[in-house]
Amino acid sequence: MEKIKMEKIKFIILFYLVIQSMVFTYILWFGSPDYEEIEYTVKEPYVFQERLDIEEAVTPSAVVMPRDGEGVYFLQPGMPACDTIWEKSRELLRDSRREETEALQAAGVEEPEAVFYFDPPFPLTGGILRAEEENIQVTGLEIYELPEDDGIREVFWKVHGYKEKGEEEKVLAGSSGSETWKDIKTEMEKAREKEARVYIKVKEEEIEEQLPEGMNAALQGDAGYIYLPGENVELSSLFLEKENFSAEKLIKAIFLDPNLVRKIEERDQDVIYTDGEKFLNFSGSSFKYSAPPVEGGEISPDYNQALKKAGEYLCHFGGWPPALRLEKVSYYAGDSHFREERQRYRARWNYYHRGFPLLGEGKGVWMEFNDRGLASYHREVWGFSRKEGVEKEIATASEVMEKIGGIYSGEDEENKAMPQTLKQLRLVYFAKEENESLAEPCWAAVFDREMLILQAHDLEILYKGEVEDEFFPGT
Amino acid sequence: MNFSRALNVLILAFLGLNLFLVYHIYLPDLRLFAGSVTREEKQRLENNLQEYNYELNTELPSQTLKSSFLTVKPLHLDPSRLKQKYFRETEGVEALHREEANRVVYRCEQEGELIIYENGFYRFLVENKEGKEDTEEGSKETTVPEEEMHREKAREIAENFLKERGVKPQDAKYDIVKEYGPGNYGVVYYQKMPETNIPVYSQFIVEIKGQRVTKIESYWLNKLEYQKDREMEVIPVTAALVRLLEELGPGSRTRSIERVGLGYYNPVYDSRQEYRVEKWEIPPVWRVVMENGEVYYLNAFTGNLEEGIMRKE
Repeated sequence: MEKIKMEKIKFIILFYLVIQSMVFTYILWFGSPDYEEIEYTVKEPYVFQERLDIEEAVTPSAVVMPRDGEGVYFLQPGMPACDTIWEKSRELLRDSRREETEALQAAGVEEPEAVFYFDPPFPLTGGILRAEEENIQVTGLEIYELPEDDGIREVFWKVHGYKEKGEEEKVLAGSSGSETWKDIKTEMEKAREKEARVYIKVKEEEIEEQLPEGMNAALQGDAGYIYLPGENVELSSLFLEKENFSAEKLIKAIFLDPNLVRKIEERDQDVIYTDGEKFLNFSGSSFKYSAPPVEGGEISPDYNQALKKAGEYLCHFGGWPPALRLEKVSYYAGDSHFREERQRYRARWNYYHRGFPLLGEGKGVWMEFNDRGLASYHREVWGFSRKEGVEKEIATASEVMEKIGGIYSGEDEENKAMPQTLKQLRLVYFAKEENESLAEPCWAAVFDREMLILQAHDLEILYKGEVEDEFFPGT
Repeated sequence: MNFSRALNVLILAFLGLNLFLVYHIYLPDLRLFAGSVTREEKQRLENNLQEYNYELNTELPSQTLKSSFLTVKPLHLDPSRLKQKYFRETEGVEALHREEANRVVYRCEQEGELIIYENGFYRFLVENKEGKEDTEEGSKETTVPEEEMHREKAREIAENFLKERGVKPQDAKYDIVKEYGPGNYGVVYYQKMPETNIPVYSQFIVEIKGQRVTKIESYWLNKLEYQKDREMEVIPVTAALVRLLEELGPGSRTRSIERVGLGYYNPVYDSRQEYRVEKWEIPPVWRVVMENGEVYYLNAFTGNLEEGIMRKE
């Protein structure tokens, strides 16, 4: 009995094993129909800010409004009025239609209500000037108000610029946005009363008269003149604070797979993050980024595309604070034999406070990119925290010129190699390396070979050295 | 055979069959041997080897492994202890401080020069006393003809020197002998990761020229910490080799791959001492040794060639 019972159990086990083997064979042969479809989730990189339209990337370098009496009203980047007026004007410009060039003459209007200067040029695309599909790089925009009885048009836009091939272009456009134009006029009126400074137009010849013998003036942009303060300007030093930056977010934005990023800590507290191809070097809250494999790329000259990419990189990798102004977009044709000399675009931004840029060792943002992507990127953004001390009258441009004469005409051996040409003279804020959170108002004189930064109150020399990137030291 | 015995045999046979089927169905999901090298990958590698004129003289690991980053620090040795070990007589040793380069230099006319950098790197240059005398006297070479110098002999010389001075790190293991030129060799040692025995390719090289030690360079690591929480699957060795062949391009003569293995490579090595690195992470690498001693390190997560990764703007 026992034996029969045992055999029955064995038979049941065998039967179970046979059925199980058939099931397993089926699964192995045909695969498991019960598996859920695999979902591939591609990690999206972190984005600090959505990119801006290219028309938002460029803001005027100055807005000039006529004034009764001597000089003009002058607005510069970093002044809220400058941004407001331009924003509304851009809206008006967007709805403009092209007009015959004689139309303005026929209307009998001579003096513009405002002139917008652009450096770098503003990209006027078909999307803005509705009637035209061509792209114009605008260096100047004049806005004229027409007599009220015109009926159809209220303002004319005189556009100065050039097409992509470099041909000079002058276009006339008319707008009829009554409410927008009224708003612009109100803002301009407010600006005249509050923020705008009185500046005067000074020609090259007048400047040359004050320069030491042997030095001439060839002002940037071939305009033949610059605007300088026409009234007393009172300024104080500023306390600055660095932007608060999240390294973790930037790593997620820059590296495709943050899991592959390794950390390298240096003795001076700098931290480098790398995946072997991209390098992100944090020093305090500023950083440098480089990607050697990208450096070997190329790029064709296309200004609008460059603006688009520059804006995209800045927005995605750190964001674009409103006070950060795009100062320059340059194309380097390069040399195909040397990787470091390959074709590339270079863009740089500067922080502005009430019309004046902040300069100093490492201050600002600059990047280089090509068709392969972002090759290098430096970011050190400081913002205004509070005023330091009282506002005091600064030295006049004439006094600055006299000081320059003294510096370069002296018998001192050091000053024998006098620069030949003055290219720019402007007011800036400058932070010395030893006290980088304090920015002093300064006069910056840019020559062909070097740059001079003089404290604006006592004209003490704060920087005298090579101009590595136009008038931005330390880059 | 009775019925009961037949049942036993059948039960065992089906049990075995079921285990075999379970292994093939479920084990890939359990990921014990996940991602093992496929036939297609092997075939692709073979095609590439042929196309680029390479041959493989070693067995490849057939399974994909998991690994993670390793956190390392440079090993800072006490300069005075190093001095005592390297110089047989310390009385005549002159200490020179070169502040600008953050290093300490000990020099002894008879024995050589020991340069210890702030970042842990050190170099011992052995005084070529015999060579000098030969030159001064204008005599013929006293050393054995260079052709006779073999790699094994070079290793023996290095080992004897290290033993005599007692300067070989405890966790150092012999790696390879590189040939720099006729009669000129570099005996290379690697560091063994504690517990796991995974090799860490840092720097400890004994240079031999004319049957004598001429230089020792060391950049040894300290406090090796395996980051268990970041463990990831490494790429198959075949994929790494295909990547390497693409980087190297086709060769004019047949070259052979002698050794392939997984380890760690410490690329933060710079004899100019520009970098003040304190602590860093290194990824696992597939290490490929060619027939002439050339070594390539491929990031085992990305397949990228690991070179001198440190850059400073």
